[in-house]
Amino acid sequence: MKLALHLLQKTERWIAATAFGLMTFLVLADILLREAFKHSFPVGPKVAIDLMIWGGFLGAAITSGKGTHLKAEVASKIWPKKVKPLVDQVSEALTALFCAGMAWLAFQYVSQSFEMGEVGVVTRIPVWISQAVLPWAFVSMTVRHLIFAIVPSLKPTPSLEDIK
Amino acid sequence: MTELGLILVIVGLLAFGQPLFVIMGAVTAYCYRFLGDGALQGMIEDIYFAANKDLLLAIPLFILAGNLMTQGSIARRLIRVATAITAPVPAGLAVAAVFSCAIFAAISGSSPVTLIAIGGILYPALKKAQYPDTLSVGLLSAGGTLGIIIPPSIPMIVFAIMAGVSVTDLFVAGVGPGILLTLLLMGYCMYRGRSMARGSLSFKELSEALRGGVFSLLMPALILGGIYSGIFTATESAAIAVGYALVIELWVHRELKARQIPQVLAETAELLGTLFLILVLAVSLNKFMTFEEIPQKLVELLSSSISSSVAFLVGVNLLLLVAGCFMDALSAILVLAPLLTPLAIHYGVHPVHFGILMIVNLEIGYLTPPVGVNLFVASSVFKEPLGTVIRAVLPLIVVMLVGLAIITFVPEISLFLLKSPAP
Repeated sequence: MKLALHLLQKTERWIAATAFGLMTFLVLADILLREAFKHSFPVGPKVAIDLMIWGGFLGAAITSGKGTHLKAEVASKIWPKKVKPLVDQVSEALTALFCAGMAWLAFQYVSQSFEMGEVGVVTRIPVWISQAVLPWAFVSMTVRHLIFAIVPSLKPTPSLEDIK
Repeated sequence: MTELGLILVIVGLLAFGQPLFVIMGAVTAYCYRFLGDGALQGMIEDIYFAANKDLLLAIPLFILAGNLMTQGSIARRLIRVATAITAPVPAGLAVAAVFSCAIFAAISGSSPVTLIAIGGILYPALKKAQYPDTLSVGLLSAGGTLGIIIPPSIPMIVFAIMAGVSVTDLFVAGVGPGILLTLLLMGYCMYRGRSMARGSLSFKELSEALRGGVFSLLMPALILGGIYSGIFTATESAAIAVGYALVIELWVHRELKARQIPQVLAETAELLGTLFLILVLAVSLNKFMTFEEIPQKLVELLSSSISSSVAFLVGVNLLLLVAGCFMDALSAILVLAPLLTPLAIHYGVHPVHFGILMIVNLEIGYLTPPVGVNLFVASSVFKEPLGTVIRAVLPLIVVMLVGLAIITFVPEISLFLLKSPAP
């Protein structure tokens, strides 16, 4: 299970990094074409937004894998030390439940776009390609939090480097 | 009954230490299901449309530019320039620390990053120069908070999205308050170190420092100059910052290797990941609230009990200072900005001025327990107990509260650079 989590994290990091690299290139290329060659490239910024959506949602999934999502921890300190491990497991299960619900809604939404054959106004790219990251990210988060609920020892502890 | 259910959901999720995105998502889903038309599908649609915004591109691009610049020697170069300039003033090294934080803030946009980058280098130097630990720890922690008030600033972009104001105006408006807070912190250092020996200004050292740091110093001018002159939008300016950082670090400073770039991009995705989901969920909730006219109802409800704009400003500052104690800056902006901005406008407060007030309040929140991020970062970086760090920042919090009071009641400090200061 540890290896599966590691591979998932690595794959998503690689895709997110590629998405952000391409996104940056497209925005810079658009500025350069416009300012230096007086040529417009309207597809670039629109695809850049799609890539940001991919990178952003996958970033959220990666953040789940590192346990660095923003939390209001103060209220959770009400629990006695004895029951804290159980509360943590229930907490992870609750997060997984929420993500599973969102994944289901996202899947229905993307299926609808796919069936209707919607395409981007400027890019002419099928919209479902950009939207597909929603169910992916939520399923990925569901899997992670479910594993952390079942095997708490696999849950990561955030380091100082993560507090940025 | 349904409102009571909503409160129970929030309390229950908080008690179980749920991530903010789950709380935000559950609240949004509850509102759509029980207070709206009952269809949850609209929520996902709103999330996607919230993510599909040009302005959002500025956030990963500024994070990426900051990450690229912090890989290299920029902090060391900036510190050298600041130290050379402030050598002849009382407590010159301490003043240089604040000055370095201010210049670095104009590149980084994050408080903890500023604290780590500058504090990591200057704390040992301040210790060696026999500055009191309480002064060094306190001013580096407080100096780090300048990261979010001096543009570019991620919290300012988030405020712009949530409150529907111009991010360009917010960036421009942050300059005056940023300079004021920097001067106040420097003044405090000079007062505390008034009896310490002064150095002398070495033109040779200054010119060498400037030669080494000129490209780093040009970056804030490029970002702000491009936005203020209208040549670039905030998003384009962020992209230019990335391009500039790449060129400088890869080919001029030669501190960054091409093979490090994928790692920097992945770190950017991780940093954006902590914010992205909450942001799009908050925008979705905001859309629901606007549709149901909740901010307008809140304005009607509170306008009868708040008699004047002064009372509103005092009250809102107190509310934000308390919020800053318990919430991080971004969460507080996501939750409170859509609710409080219409109220601020109702009381005649310029929305951009209100945005700056919110950022300064939450900047102080970086120094207040129990969730003051800079306290924990300082404790870890400087290897000092948390109690020592808290005691060290107390006088600096007072200095920043003085700054907050001035910024609150002299709106011109924020608005004087705006091209159209009328709301």
